[in-house]
Amino acid sequence: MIIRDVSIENFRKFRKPLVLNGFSSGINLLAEPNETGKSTILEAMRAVLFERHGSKSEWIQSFRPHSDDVAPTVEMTFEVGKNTYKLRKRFIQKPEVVLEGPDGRFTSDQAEEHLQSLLGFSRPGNRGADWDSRGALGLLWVEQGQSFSLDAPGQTARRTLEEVLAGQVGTVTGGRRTTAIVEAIEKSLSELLTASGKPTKKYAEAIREVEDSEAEAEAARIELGEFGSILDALESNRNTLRRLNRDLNDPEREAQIKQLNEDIQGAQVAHSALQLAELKLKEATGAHDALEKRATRRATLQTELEAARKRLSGQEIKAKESIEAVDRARTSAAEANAALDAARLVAVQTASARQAAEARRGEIRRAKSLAIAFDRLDAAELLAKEIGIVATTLAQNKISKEAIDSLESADRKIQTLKVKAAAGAVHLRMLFEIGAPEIRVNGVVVSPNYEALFADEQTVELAGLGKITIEPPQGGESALLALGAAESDMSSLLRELDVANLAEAHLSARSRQDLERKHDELNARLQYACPADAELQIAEGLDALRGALSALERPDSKLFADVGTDDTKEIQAYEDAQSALAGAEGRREAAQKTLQEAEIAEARISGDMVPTQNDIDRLSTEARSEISELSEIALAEILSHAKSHEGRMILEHDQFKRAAESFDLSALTKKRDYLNKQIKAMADERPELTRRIGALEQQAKDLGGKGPAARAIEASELLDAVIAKRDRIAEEAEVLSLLSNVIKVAQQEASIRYLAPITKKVAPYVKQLIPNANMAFGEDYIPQSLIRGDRTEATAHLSKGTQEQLAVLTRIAFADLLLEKGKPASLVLDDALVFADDDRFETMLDILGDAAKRMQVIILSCRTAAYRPLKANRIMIE
Amino acid sequence: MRFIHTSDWQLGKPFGRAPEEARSALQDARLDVIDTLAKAAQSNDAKVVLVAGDVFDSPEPGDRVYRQALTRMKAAERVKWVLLPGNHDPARSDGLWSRLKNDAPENLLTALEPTPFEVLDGLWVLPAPLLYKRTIDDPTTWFDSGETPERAFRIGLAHGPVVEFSSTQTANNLIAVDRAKTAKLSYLALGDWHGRRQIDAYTHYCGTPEPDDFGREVTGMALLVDVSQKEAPDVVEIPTGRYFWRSETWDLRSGADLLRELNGFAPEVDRRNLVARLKLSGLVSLSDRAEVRNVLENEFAHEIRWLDLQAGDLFVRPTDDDMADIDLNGVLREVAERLSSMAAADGMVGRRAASALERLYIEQQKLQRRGVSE
Repeated sequence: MIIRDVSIENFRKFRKPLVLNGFSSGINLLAEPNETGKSTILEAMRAVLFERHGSKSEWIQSFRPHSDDVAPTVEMTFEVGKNTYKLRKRFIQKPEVVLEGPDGRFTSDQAEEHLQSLLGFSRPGNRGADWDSRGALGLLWVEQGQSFSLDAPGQTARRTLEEVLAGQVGTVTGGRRTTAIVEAIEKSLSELLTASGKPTKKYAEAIREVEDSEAEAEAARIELGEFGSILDALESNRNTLRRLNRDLNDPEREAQIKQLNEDIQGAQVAHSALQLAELKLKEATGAHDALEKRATRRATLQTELEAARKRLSGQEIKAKESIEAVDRARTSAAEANAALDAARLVAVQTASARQAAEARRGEIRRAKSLAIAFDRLDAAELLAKEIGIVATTLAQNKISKEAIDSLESADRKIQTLKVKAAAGAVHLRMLFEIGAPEIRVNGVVVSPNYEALFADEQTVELAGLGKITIEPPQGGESALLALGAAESDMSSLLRELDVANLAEAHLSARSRQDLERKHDELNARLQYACPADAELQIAEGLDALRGALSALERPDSKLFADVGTDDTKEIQAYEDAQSALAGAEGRREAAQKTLQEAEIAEARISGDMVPTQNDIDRLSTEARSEISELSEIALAEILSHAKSHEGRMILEHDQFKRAAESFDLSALTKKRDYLNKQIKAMADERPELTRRIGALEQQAKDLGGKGPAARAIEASELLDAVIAKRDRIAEEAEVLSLLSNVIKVAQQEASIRYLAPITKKVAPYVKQLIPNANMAFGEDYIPQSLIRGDRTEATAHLSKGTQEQLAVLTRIAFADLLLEKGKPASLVLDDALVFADDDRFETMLDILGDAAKRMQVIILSCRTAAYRPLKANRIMIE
Repeated sequence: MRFIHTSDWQLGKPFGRAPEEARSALQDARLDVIDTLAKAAQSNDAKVVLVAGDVFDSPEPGDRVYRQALTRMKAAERVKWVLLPGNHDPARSDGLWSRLKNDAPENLLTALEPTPFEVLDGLWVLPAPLLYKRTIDDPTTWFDSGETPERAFRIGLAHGPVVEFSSTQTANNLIAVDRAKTAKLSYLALGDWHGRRQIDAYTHYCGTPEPDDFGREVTGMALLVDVSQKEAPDVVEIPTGRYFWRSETWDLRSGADLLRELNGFAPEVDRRNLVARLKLSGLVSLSDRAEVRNVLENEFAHEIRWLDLQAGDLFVRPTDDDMADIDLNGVLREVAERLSSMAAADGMVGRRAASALERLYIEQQKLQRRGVSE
């Protein structure tokens, strides 16, 4: 491919039309300073070829000069093979493309497609052309800063390379077709599986269809089942109703009920007869029992009568014995009474003797007590006199405890004020020698030995000499005044208490205390001397004693001094008499008790005899009347008759009982009621059953209308169909995956073989640049390592400069390969080889010069001087 | 006295396995046959159409089919239709037939009880309705004792097979082969078999009026029956079917074999009304296989109503030419060689590799047609 001319208008910085022409088929150099627009020119060349004219992407918008609403337009004339093409593209506003060549004039998408197939690149994506879409030319047209890139070629470029290489390794065809087939297969596969192998689109849809159909088939199956159940239920309910109607009109049961009713009636009759027989039997038994009882009673009567008589004779003997005992007891009691009377007499006599003795002794004892009381009064009067003297002395002494306290308090006050006055006043002490002049203080003449305390201003005059004025500090005056008042209080207090000073007052106070103590002691002694006298009935205290004795005379002690006190004889006699009396009383009491008991025993025995006699009377009357009413013989006859009647009644009752037992009335009633209940239950069941049948009929009709059976069959067949479809699609996916995989493996193996020509092609250039070195490529066409002799270095570890040089050499090799296959190729380097040292740069220029013999090379550079040695066609930006 | 004998309409058959476009056509054809039968009756002066069972495909066909059937029968006013429940649509109480009995227009009789009834003057029908899908007893036994007036035509109407096919399993609804004789029938109209079959002069299967499946010698017809007192009935076949179901198994050696077979395939049938199942077997080249596929899938399948193609047994042996067509060398050739050797394996792996190879071939052909070379 050879570019002949390029014109640019309204493209980035080129607002005005820029025309670049005169490109040669060899090496072309566009050397201009920075900011001239070299890179923009390359961008415009790429745009006119690779970008879609109709695109409105941000990238395309960026072609427009800053803030201008214009249509970027690029034109290019180029040759491919022997054909010349003229290409023009306008972007954004009224976008258009025109391609003119030997095949004619193309516009719009047709022109784009034509261009793509001519230059071997792909339709760009929505965002604009990229590494992938630009194809081999993109690989060879190196923009600024990309020249040292060792990235793998993009997909389109790679395909083109593979096509070319396929030819190189001897394969005749297949490169492009393989690519097309891989694309077709991948496209088909992408309709079925995602990149990660999950079902998508058609396949996913088929799977969904199967799931839906399964659900549908299941639902239809269930519905059909329900419909069947409804029909079953309907049939069963109908049968039930039929049976019910038949059962309700069952003649056998009717006959059964009738028979039961008859039986029940019979049973009721038998039952009544039995009841009657039971009654009769009861009567007969009653009569028999009554007679039996009468006979028994008669026998009992005789026995009782005999027993009563026997008892009575026993009681008569006992009565006689008890009367004798009463007589004996009476005699004893009389004797005891007499003894008691005698004892009483003695007791009275001894008691009065004892009383007289006791009165005499009491008189003597009182006289003795009275004498003592008079003695006590004498002592007390003496004490009272002494107390009177002490009290008078006390009354004369004024220095009480309170008075002393007042004095001491006044004294303390004076002392305090004295201290205060001393602090605030001036203490003036003057001592003059005899013969000193007259001294006056405040106009008053004082002695030459003068001492004073003052609080006000003082004037000391020394006759013939002058005056001294003394001013004491303030505050001393009032203290002195207070002191004076206190001292005056003190002296008035002393006067009042009739003492000279405080010390005298203390002395007086101590003597008062001694008197008080003595007074108290005397009072205590007086109280002790006058205790209370219980015998004479005198209260405590002197006054009571004085009062009690005032009306009495002091007894004469001679009166009772010789009176003896022996009265034991009278007391002994009295006590003896008392004992005798008690003994007599006890004996009389015992005798009376014996008498009483004997009398009670006697009364009881005679009492007992009365009822016995009554019993005998009653029993004999009863026995007599019984016999007279019914003789023994007659009774025996009636009794035997009653016995046989009862026997007959028992037989008759048993007979009826057996008859009644043959009918079980309650069982019969129960059975009849049960049957009636059954009939009622069935009759009750009928309406519900009929209603249910009606509902089911409706359900059957409704559901039947939907065609559940047909739906079930259809759903099941549809399910089979969609499963078959899904399986077919799954199989297709498997087949496509297999095919795709086999192709990929084959491709990989092939590409390894393809690498050989690239290595071979690049080898002379590498050797020219780095002697004895060679380069190895990876599967992805990336220069992988540099081999220098035995040493292999990864290209990534080489210096940036070397990396860039190798990248340029690789591109020359790629371009050579393309050209050999008649593919369009040209090399564009924008500011490349910037990292090369001088030697390498020179060598690279040689290599490029050599390449330019085979292909068009366009070099864009800002380093004008560096490229000066290069024999190049200079293109100028004007 | 004339009547039409038909059976096995199987209305509402879903044809769920057929593709959607064929499905509704096949379903509609079954309903349309009612109209065809009505016309046949009217044009042949037959006043009665006896349907010997399987009127519907299922015991509950759904309202659409049900109503369509009733409407179409009602439309043929002068024809009296007698419908008998068969094993596909047994007369369960409260099911389809109970509704049918209530909804039936005047000219429609349902034969639900095993009792003789007069359908026209002197024409008595003895029906053997099926109440269950399967019964072990012969439902026509009662015909022998079924009473009809003297000189009446006794027409038996029943559904079931007359011969016990399986020796191990008892067939159901089996009908005594000499029932016409023992029951002194003027004619025994039978249904169940979809193919036409005459058992004896008095006993006939008419077959389904509209074929519905492969693998049966079914042409789709009804029988016009004329009974007389003295002679055996006069039975005439009346074609009624629209679609022809044909199943073929072809062993192919080349694409040419297929073209030859297709040329000779059912020439009498309008291809629009053909439903075909083709089972292909044999060993062919890749190009032939691609051609076969192309002809069948892209041409023949579109010409006929429905093609059920089963080509799993048509194996491929790539020829040198096939391989050269793919590529002489290079990646694609390599791929073809690999797949070819994988295809020799048995089972799934081999089949898949063969399919992949075929796909590669087809893609290659497509590219060639588009003019992509190299």
